[in-house]
Amino acid sequence: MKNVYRYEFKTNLKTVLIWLICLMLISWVLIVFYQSAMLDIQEFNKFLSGYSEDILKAFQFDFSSLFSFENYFSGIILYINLCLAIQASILAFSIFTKELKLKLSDYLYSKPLTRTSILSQKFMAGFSLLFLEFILLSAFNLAVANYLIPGIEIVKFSFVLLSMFFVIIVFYSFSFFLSCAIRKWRTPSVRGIEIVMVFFVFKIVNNIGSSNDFTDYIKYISFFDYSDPRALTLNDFYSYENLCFIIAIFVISLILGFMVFRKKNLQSS
Amino acid sequence: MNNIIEIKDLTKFYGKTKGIENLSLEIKEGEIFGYIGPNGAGKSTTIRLMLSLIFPDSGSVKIFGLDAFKNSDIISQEIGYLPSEVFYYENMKVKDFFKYNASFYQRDCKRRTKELCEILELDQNRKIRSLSYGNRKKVGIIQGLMHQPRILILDEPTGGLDPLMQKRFFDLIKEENQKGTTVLFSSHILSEVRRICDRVGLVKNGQLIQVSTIQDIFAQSYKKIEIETKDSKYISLKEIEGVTKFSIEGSKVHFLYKGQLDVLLSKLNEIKISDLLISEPELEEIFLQYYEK
Repeated sequence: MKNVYRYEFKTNLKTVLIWLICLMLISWVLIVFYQSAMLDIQEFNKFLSGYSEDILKAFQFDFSSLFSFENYFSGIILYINLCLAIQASILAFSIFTKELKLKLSDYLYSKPLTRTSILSQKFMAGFSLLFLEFILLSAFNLAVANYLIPGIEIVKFSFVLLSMFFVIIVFYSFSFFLSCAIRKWRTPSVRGIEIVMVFFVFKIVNNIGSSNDFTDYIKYISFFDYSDPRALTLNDFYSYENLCFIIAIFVISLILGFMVFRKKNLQSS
Repeated sequence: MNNIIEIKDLTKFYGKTKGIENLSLEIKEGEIFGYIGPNGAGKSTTIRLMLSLIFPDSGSVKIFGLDAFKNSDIISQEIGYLPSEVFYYENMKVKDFFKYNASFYQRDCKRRTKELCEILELDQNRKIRSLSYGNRKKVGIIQGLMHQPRILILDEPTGGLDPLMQKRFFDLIKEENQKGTTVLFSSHILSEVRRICDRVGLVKNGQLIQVSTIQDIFAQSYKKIEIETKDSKYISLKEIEGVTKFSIEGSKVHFLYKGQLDVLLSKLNEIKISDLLISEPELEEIFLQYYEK
């Protein structure tokens, strides 16, 4: 029986589509912005073209890569990722605390399904929606960028876009765990934004702080940095250490969430 | 008859607050069992434990001979539950909600759902959000009955229903019971309990203080006596063992009596009385007798 899955998928589809349209608009604006800026960069490149290639190499004036679309987008995607993190977090809180908020626990959890089954179906419904959104948003970005920006590296840009998926799974699974573990979460939107902002502050602190014990510690709890696509400017792919952290957060959150919820007392109000 | 529900030494504390303590109870297959007690006595806690919505500190619950905490998904196939407060998915239409509810059970519920909607006069095309409290209660009753469960758990079921609907509801419950459904009827409206229950359990401060048939409860209880007399010897009645709450109102004497009726009648025979009324107390009065102790 996949009735809970179908219900949750259908109920949240409209909200996810609204988020998707907004994110598509933001992406489109960011790509068009680069397209306009490219005209100025081309003027600057024309100026540099008067110099010999050896001199440019000697002084590391390789602006073609510095101003590449992939590098530009790997920085600016942070704001799309921030939106996706908030959305994933709100969706998780909304799906997993709905029964408590609407006083429906007595109804749903007295039905002939195990708690694990109900929770799995709910989890998969939210995850499917977010995955679908990621696919559609990535396809949209690839199509628009390919159309507006000449000569983009499709593979590298796809890797940049992959960071959206990493952010989604980290914040969705972590918020899933919190909503299972903590008894009273009444307002999913506020809680979702709060959680994401806390981690965004960690990222800012990590970015601006000079290396010391505190910032060394912060970098491990800065969820946004695990999926920072700026790493792609130096490497071919995301660092394996960060990918391991992402997988660890996902798996641990899932296991702990299920364990806690199976033994949780469901209050009627 | 076999025990269909067996609760043994069940204890549940909410922090330091007692929900129920060492509660043991057996409910027989096919009976309508009234579970009565004042607010906060532990009725809903017992029901929520039976449904594995909460977990006990100690003790066990067996339903159909299965551990209720390990097999809740199997047991719930055969349980219909109407909670005291009815909350459902507000944005759903009633018919969509019933479809969703039916999808949890491995049987076709369409025909029974239609019948129940007709009996309770419920419009399936309305959104749940737009329903009155009484109509929501009807939604709750139908979702609990549509899959023809073997056990029906009703927690304060009649709130919000008008007298006509209450009558139809009780008829439905009796009809289900005649088909073999066991009913656990939790309430503090004692006239309802008396109307349909075979046996009752009285719960007080989280503990079961008595389980007996309705007839036994009345038999063990006091009688209300009212006599009309001008004979001054009536004062000797006060001395009979088992007489309480003795009062005089003009020529009328009222008191409560608990004991052998022939003892009382022989004393009354010594007095000239113009009228005599012996009546049973209301269940509410018996109830208060237990809870005032």
